[in-house]
Amino acid sequence: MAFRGLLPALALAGHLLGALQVPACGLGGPNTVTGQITPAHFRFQTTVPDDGKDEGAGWRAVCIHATMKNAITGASVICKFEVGTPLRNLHGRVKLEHAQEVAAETANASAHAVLSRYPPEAPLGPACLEFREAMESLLRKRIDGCRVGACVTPGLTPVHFDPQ
Amino acid sequence: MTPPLTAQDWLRLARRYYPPGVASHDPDYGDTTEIRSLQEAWREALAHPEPWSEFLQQLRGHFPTAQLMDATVPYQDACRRCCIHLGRAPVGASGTLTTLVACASVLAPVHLVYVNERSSRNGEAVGQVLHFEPPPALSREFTLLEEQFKRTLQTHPLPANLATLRVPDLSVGNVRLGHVTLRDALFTSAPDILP
Repeated sequence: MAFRGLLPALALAGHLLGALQVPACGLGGPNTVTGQITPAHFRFQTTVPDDGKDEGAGWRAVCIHATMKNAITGASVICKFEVGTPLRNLHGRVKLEHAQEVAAETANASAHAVLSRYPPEAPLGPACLEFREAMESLLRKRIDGCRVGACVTPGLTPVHFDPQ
Repeated sequence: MTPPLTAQDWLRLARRYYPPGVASHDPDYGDTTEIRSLQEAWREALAHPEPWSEFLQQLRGHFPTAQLMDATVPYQDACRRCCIHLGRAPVGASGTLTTLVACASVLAPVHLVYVNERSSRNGEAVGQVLHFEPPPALSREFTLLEEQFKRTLQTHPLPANLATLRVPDLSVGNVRLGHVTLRDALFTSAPDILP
Protein backbone atom coordinates (compact mmCIF):
# COMPACT_ATOMS: atom_id res chain seq x y z
CA MET A 1 0.00 0.00 0.00
CA ALA A 2 1.30 3.40 -0.91
CA PHE A 3 1.14 5.86 1.95
CA ARG A 4 0.70 9.49 1.21
CA GLY A 5 1.90 11.37 4.26
CA LEU A 6 1.49 14.99 3.32
CA LEU A 7 4.80 16.39 4.20
CA PRO A 8 7.77 16.60 6.42
CA ALA A 9 6.74 17.30 9.94
CA LEU A 10 7.37 17.20 13.65
CA ALA A 11 10.94 18.42 13.75
CA LEU A 12 11.35 22.15 13.82
CA ALA A 13 14.62 22.79 12.03
CA GLY A 14 14.81 26.51 12.38
CA HIS A 15 14.01 29.81 10.81
CA LEU A 16 15.33 29.37 7.29
CA LEU A 17 13.62 31.64 4.85
CA GLY A 18 13.10 30.08 1.46
CA ALA A 19 14.09 26.64 2.60
CA LEU A 20 10.60 25.40 3.15
CA GLN A 21 10.14 22.13 1.39
CA VAL A 22 6.40 21.97 1.02
CA PRO A 23 4.39 25.10 0.47
CA ALA A 24 1.89 23.38 -1.82
CA CYS A 25 -1.09 23.51 0.49
CA GLY A 26 -0.53 27.12 1.44
CA LEU A 27 0.13 26.35 5.09
CA GLY A 28 3.83 27.00 4.99
CA GLY A 29 5.70 29.45 7.17
CA PRO A 30 9.32 30.50 7.30
CA ASN A 31 10.69 27.48 9.20
CA THR A 32 11.98 24.33 7.59
CA VAL A 33 10.14 21.35 9.02
CA THR A 34 11.52 17.86 8.59
CA GLY A 35 10.40 14.35 9.42
CA GLN A 36 7.35 12.40 8.38
CA ILE A 37 5.09 10.20 10.44
CA THR A 38 3.54 7.28 8.58
CA PRO A 39 0.33 5.26 8.88
CA ALA A 40 2.40 2.44 10.37
CA HIS A 41 3.10 4.60 13.42
CA PHE A 42 -0.59 4.64 14.24
CA ARG A 43 -0.73 1.24 15.87
CA PHE A 44 -4.25 1.61 17.24
CA GLN A 45 -5.42 -0.62 20.05
CA THR A 46 -9.11 -1.30 20.58
CA THR A 47 -10.13 0.03 23.99
CA VAL A 48 -13.92 -0.34 23.63
CA PRO A 49 -15.00 -3.27 21.45
CA ASP A 50 -17.79 -2.85 18.96
CA ASP A 51 -20.58 -4.96 20.41
CA GLY A 52 -22.29 -5.17 17.03
CA LYS A 53 -25.43 -3.48 18.25
CA ASP A 54 -26.70 -0.23 16.84
CA GLU A 55 -25.88 1.57 20.06
CA GLY A 56 -22.18 0.81 20.27
CA ALA A 57 -19.65 2.95 18.48
CA GLY A 58 -16.57 1.31 20.05
CA TRP A 59 -13.20 3.02 20.33
CA ARG A 60 -9.58 2.53 19.28
CA ALA A 61 -6.65 4.64 20.43
CA VAL A 62 -2.91 5.03 20.07
CA CYS A 63 -0.41 7.00 22.17
CA ILE A 64 2.50 8.52 20.27
CA HIS A 65 5.63 10.05 21.79
CA ALA A 66 6.98 12.35 19.10
CA THR A 67 10.22 14.24 19.50
CA MET A 68 10.08 17.91 18.56
CA LYS A 69 13.43 19.63 18.09
CA ASN A 70 14.52 23.17 17.45
CA ALA A 71 17.70 22.99 15.36
CA ILE A 72 18.64 26.57 16.22
CA THR A 73 18.43 26.41 20.00
CA GLY A 74 19.00 22.69 20.35
CA ALA A 75 15.92 22.44 22.54
CA SER A 76 13.74 19.38 22.27
CA VAL A 77 10.55 18.12 23.87
CA ILE A 78 8.54 14.94 23.74
CA CYS A 79 5.08 15.67 22.45
CA LYS A 80 2.85 12.92 23.79
CA PHE A 81 -0.46 12.71 22.02
CA GLU A 82 -3.28 10.21 21.96
CA VAL A 83 -5.37 9.74 18.84
CA GLY A 84 -8.72 7.99 19.10
CA THR A 85 -11.34 7.02 16.56
CA PRO A 86 -14.73 5.37 16.89
CA LEU A 87 -14.97 1.89 15.40
CA ARG A 88 -18.26 2.95 13.94
CA ASN A 89 -19.82 6.36 13.49
CA LEU A 90 -22.94 7.82 11.97
CA HIS A 91 -21.68 6.92 8.50
CA GLY A 92 -20.82 3.31 9.25
CA ARG A 93 -17.72 1.30 10.10
CA VAL A 94 -14.41 3.18 10.34
CA LYS A 95 -11.83 0.84 8.84
CA LEU A 96 -8.49 0.57 10.62
CA GLU A 97 -6.42 1.19 7.48
CA HIS A 98 -8.45 4.28 6.67
CA ALA A 99 -8.05 5.59 10.21
CA GLN A 100 -4.28 5.05 10.02
CA GLU A 101 -3.90 6.80 6.68
CA VAL A 102 -6.04 9.76 7.64
CA ALA A 103 -4.29 10.05 11.01
CA ALA A 104 -0.86 10.17 9.34
CA GLU A 105 -1.97 12.70 6.75
CA THR A 106 -3.57 14.99 9.29
CA ALA A 107 -0.64 14.65 11.72
CA ASN A 108 1.87 15.66 9.06
CA ALA A 109 -0.28 18.50 7.79
CA SER A 110 -0.90 19.79 11.33
CA ALA A 111 2.73 19.54 12.40
CA HIS A 112 3.76 21.39 9.29
CA ALA A 113 1.11 24.07 9.73
CA VAL A 114 2.04 24.68 13.38
CA LEU A 115 5.82 24.29 13.31
CA SER A 116 6.52 26.11 10.07
CA ARG A 117 5.15 29.27 11.68
CA TYR A 118 6.23 28.62 15.27
CA PRO A 119 8.48 31.33 16.71
CA PRO A 120 11.94 29.69 16.87
CA GLU A 121 12.70 31.45 20.15
CA ALA A 122 9.51 30.26 21.85
CA PRO A 123 9.41 27.23 24.17
CA LEU A 124 8.38 24.12 22.26
CA GLY A 125 6.01 22.66 24.86
CA PRO A 126 2.94 24.68 23.87
CA ALA A 127 3.53 23.73 20.22
CA CYS A 128 2.44 20.23 21.22
CA LEU A 129 -0.96 21.52 22.31
CA GLU A 130 -1.31 23.62 19.16
CA PHE A 131 -0.42 20.56 17.11
CA ARG A 132 -3.03 18.44 18.90
CA GLU A 133 -5.72 21.05 18.37
CA ALA A 134 -4.84 21.40 14.69
CA MET A 135 -4.78 17.66 14.13
CA GLU A 136 -8.09 17.11 15.92
CA SER A 137 -9.67 19.84 13.84
CA LEU A 138 -8.51 18.23 10.58
CA LEU A 139 -9.10 14.64 11.64
CA ARG A 140 -12.69 15.09 12.83
CA LYS A 141 -13.57 16.63 9.48
CA ARG A 142 -12.43 13.44 7.78
CA ILE A 143 -13.78 10.93 10.35
CA ASP A 144 -16.64 11.99 12.60
CA GLY A 145 -15.97 11.51 16.30
CA CYS A 146 -12.14 11.43 16.31
CA ARG A 147 -10.20 12.91 19.17
CA VAL A 148 -6.61 14.02 19.71
CA GLY A 149 -5.53 14.72 23.27
CA ALA A 150 -3.05 13.90 26.00
CA CYS A 151 -1.99 10.30 26.53
CA VAL A 152 -4.22 9.30 29.44
CA THR A 153 -5.61 5.90 28.46
CA PRO A 154 -3.91 3.18 30.50
CA GLY A 155 -2.61 0.10 28.72
CA LEU A 156 -1.64 1.76 25.45
CA THR A 157 1.87 0.84 24.34
CA PRO A 158 3.54 4.14 23.39
CA VAL A 159 4.80 4.44 19.82
CA HIS A 160 8.01 6.46 19.65
CA PHE A 161 8.60 8.78 16.72
CA ASP A 162 11.88 10.63 16.42
CA PRO A 163 12.40 12.11 12.96
CA GLN A 164 16.17 12.44 13.47
CA MET B 1 -23.39 8.83 46.76
CA THR B 2 -24.42 12.40 47.59
CA PRO B 3 -23.11 15.09 45.25
CA PRO B 4 -21.07 17.92 46.74
CA LEU B 5 -23.13 20.98 47.61
CA THR B 6 -21.00 24.08 47.38
CA ALA B 7 -18.96 25.46 44.49
CA GLN B 8 -15.82 24.97 46.55
CA ASP B 9 -16.71 21.33 47.10
CA TRP B 10 -17.03 20.86 43.34
CA LEU B 11 -13.74 22.59 42.61
CA ARG B 12 -12.04 20.43 45.21
CA LEU B 13 -13.52 17.33 43.61
CA ALA B 14 -12.32 18.32 40.12
CA ARG B 15 -8.79 18.87 41.44
CA ARG B 16 -8.68 15.26 42.58
CA TYR B 17 -8.78 14.08 38.96
CA TYR B 18 -6.66 16.65 37.08
CA PRO B 19 -3.28 17.92 38.25
CA PRO B 20 -3.46 21.56 39.40
CA GLY B 21 -1.05 23.82 37.55
CA VAL B 22 0.04 21.19 35.02
CA ALA B 23 -0.73 21.87 31.36
CA SER B 24 -2.11 18.89 29.45
CA HIS B 25 0.79 19.12 26.97
CA ASP B 26 3.28 18.58 29.78
CA PRO B 27 4.93 15.19 29.12
CA ASP B 28 4.34 14.21 32.77
CA TYR B 29 0.62 15.08 32.74
CA GLY B 30 -0.52 11.49 32.15
CA ASP B 31 1.69 10.15 34.96
CA THR B 32 0.34 12.38 37.73
CA THR B 33 -1.48 11.12 40.81
CA GLU B 34 -4.61 12.94 39.72
CA ILE B 35 -4.77 11.33 36.26
CA ARG B 36 -4.20 7.98 37.92
CA SER B 37 -7.26 8.74 40.06
CA LEU B 38 -9.21 9.53 36.88
CA GLN B 39 -8.11 6.22 35.41
CA GLU B 40 -9.16 4.42 38.58
CA ALA B 41 -12.60 6.07 38.46
CA TRP B 42 -12.96 4.82 34.87
CA ARG B 43 -11.86 1.29 35.80
CA GLU B 44 -14.49 1.25 38.49
CA ALA B 45 -17.16 2.54 36.10
CA LEU B 46 -16.23 0.10 33.34
CA ALA B 47 -16.32 -2.78 35.81
CA HIS B 48 -20.00 -2.04 36.43
CA PRO B 49 -21.58 -1.43 33.03
CA GLU B 50 -25.06 -2.68 33.90
CA PRO B 51 -26.78 0.58 34.97
CA TRP B 52 -25.57 2.38 31.84
CA SER B 53 -26.65 -0.54 29.65
CA GLU B 54 -30.07 -0.45 31.25
CA PHE B 55 -30.23 3.31 30.69
CA LEU B 56 -29.49 2.80 26.97
CA GLN B 57 -32.05 0.03 26.78
CA GLN B 58 -34.72 2.31 28.18
CA LEU B 59 -33.77 5.14 25.83
CA ARG B 60 -34.23 2.78 22.93
CA GLY B 61 -37.84 2.36 24.04
CA HIS B 62 -38.34 6.10 24.38
CA PHE B 63 -36.81 6.94 20.98
CA PRO B 64 -37.75 4.00 18.76
CA THR B 65 -37.10 5.80 15.47
CA ALA B 66 -33.86 7.55 16.48
CA GLN B 67 -30.35 6.22 15.91
CA LEU B 68 -28.71 5.68 19.29
CA MET B 69 -24.94 5.50 19.62
CA ASP B 70 -22.91 4.95 22.74
CA ALA B 71 -20.38 7.75 22.31
CA THR B 72 -18.38 6.98 25.44
CA VAL B 73 -14.67 7.78 25.20
CA PRO B 74 -13.14 6.33 28.36
CA TYR B 75 -10.29 8.28 29.98
CA GLN B 76 -10.33 11.15 27.46
CA ASP B 77 -13.72 12.18 28.84
CA ALA B 78 -15.03 11.94 32.37
CA CYS B 79 -18.47 10.70 31.41
CA ARG B 80 -20.35 8.00 29.62
CA ARG B 81 -22.09 9.58 26.68
CA CYS B 82 -24.94 8.61 24.40
CA CYS B 83 -26.00 10.25 21.14
CA ILE B 84 -29.62 10.16 20.08
CA HIS B 85 -29.63 11.19 16.45
CA LEU B 86 -33.11 12.51 15.71
CA GLY B 87 -33.05 11.76 12.01
CA ARG B 88 -30.52 10.46 9.55
CA ALA B 89 -27.25 12.03 8.51
CA PRO B 90 -27.81 13.99 5.33
CA VAL B 91 -25.34 12.06 3.16
CA GLY B 92 -24.37 14.20 0.18
CA ALA B 93 -27.35 16.43 0.89
CA SER B 94 -28.18 19.64 2.69
CA GLY B 95 -29.93 19.84 6.02
CA THR B 96 -29.56 19.88 9.78
CA LEU B 97 -29.05 16.83 11.96
CA THR B 98 -30.27 17.31 15.52
CA THR B 99 -28.66 15.12 18.15
CA LEU B 100 -29.59 14.83 21.80
CA VAL B 101 -26.59 13.99 23.95
CA ALA B 102 -26.91 12.41 27.38
CA CYS B 103 -23.84 12.25 29.65
CA ALA B 104 -23.33 10.60 33.03
CA SER B 105 -20.20 11.59 34.90
CA VAL B 106 -17.97 8.83 36.28
CA LEU B 107 -16.59 11.24 38.90
CA ALA B 108 -19.82 12.24 40.66
CA PRO B 109 -23.53 11.33 40.48
CA VAL B 110 -24.39 14.10 38.06
CA HIS B 111 -25.60 14.17 34.48
CA LEU B 112 -25.73 16.56 31.55
CA VAL B 113 -28.10 16.78 28.61
CA TYR B 114 -27.43 18.96 25.58
CA VAL B 115 -28.32 19.30 21.94
CA ASN B 116 -25.97 19.36 18.98
CA GLU B 117 -27.17 20.70 15.63
CA ARG B 118 -24.96 19.94 12.64
CA SER B 119 -25.72 21.68 9.37
CA SER B 120 -24.45 20.47 6.03
CA ARG B 121 -24.64 21.70 2.48
CA ASN B 122 -24.19 19.22 -0.35
CA GLY B 123 -22.73 16.79 2.15
CA GLU B 124 -20.16 19.25 3.53
CA ALA B 125 -20.39 20.29 7.18
CA VAL B 126 -21.03 24.03 7.30
CA GLY B 127 -21.98 24.72 10.88
CA GLN B 128 -22.54 23.39 14.34
CA VAL B 129 -24.49 24.77 17.31
CA LEU B 130 -24.64 23.43 20.87
CA HIS B 131 -27.58 24.08 23.21
CA PHE B 132 -27.03 23.41 26.89
CA GLU B 133 -30.45 24.81 27.75
CA PRO B 134 -33.39 22.87 26.30
CA PRO B 135 -34.68 24.43 23.08
CA PRO B 136 -38.49 24.81 23.37
CA ALA B 137 -39.04 22.30 20.57
CA LEU B 138 -37.16 19.64 22.54
CA SER B 139 -38.33 20.38 26.07
CA ARG B 140 -40.36 17.15 26.19
CA GLU B 141 -37.29 15.07 25.24
CA PHE B 142 -35.14 16.91 27.79
CA THR B 143 -37.68 16.21 30.53
CA LEU B 144 -37.85 12.57 29.52
CA LEU B 145 -34.08 12.20 29.70
CA GLU B 146 -33.90 13.98 33.04
CA GLU B 147 -36.47 11.59 34.48
CA GLN B 148 -34.69 8.57 33.04
CA PHE B 149 -31.37 9.65 34.52
CA LYS B 150 -32.90 10.04 37.97
CA ARG B 151 -34.79 6.77 37.77
CA THR B 152 -32.07 4.51 36.35
CA LEU B 153 -28.77 6.08 37.35
CA GLN B 154 -29.88 8.11 40.41
CA THR B 155 -28.02 11.16 39.14
CA HIS B 156 -28.80 14.86 39.42
CA PRO B 157 -28.36 17.58 36.80
CA LEU B 158 -25.31 19.77 37.35
CA PRO B 159 -26.77 23.29 37.74
CA ALA B 160 -25.86 25.63 34.88
CA ASN B 161 -24.10 28.09 37.19
CA LEU B 162 -21.80 25.28 38.34
CA ALA B 163 -21.32 23.76 34.89
CA THR B 164 -19.80 27.00 33.62
CA LEU B 165 -17.76 27.64 36.75
CA ARG B 166 -14.06 28.05 35.92
CA VAL B 167 -11.42 25.83 37.47
CA PRO B 168 -8.56 28.09 36.46
CA ASP B 169 -5.67 25.93 37.64
CA LEU B 170 -6.66 22.84 35.65
CA SER B 171 -5.99 21.79 32.07
CA VAL B 172 -8.40 19.23 30.60
CA GLY B 173 -8.20 17.75 27.13
CA ASN B 174 -7.10 20.52 24.81
CA VAL B 175 -8.52 23.25 27.04
CA ARG B 176 -5.77 25.45 28.43
CA LEU B 177 -5.07 26.44 32.00
CA GLY B 178 -7.40 29.29 32.93
CA HIS B 179 -10.20 28.24 30.62
CA VAL B 180 -11.43 24.92 32.02
CA THR B 181 -14.97 24.74 33.41
CA LEU B 182 -16.54 22.17 35.70
CA ARG B 183 -18.41 20.88 32.66
CA ASP B 184 -15.08 20.15 30.95
CA ALA B 185 -13.73 18.43 34.04
CA LEU B 186 -16.78 16.40 35.07
CA PHE B 187 -18.11 15.51 31.61
CA THR B 188 -16.23 16.36 28.43
CA SER B 189 -14.03 19.09 27.03
CA ALA B 190 -15.18 18.18 23.50
CA PRO B 191 -18.99 18.29 23.57
CA ASP B 192 -19.02 19.16 19.88
CA ILE B 193 -17.20 16.01 18.74
CA LEU B 194 -19.64 13.16 18.22
CA PRO B 195 -19.35 9.88 16.32
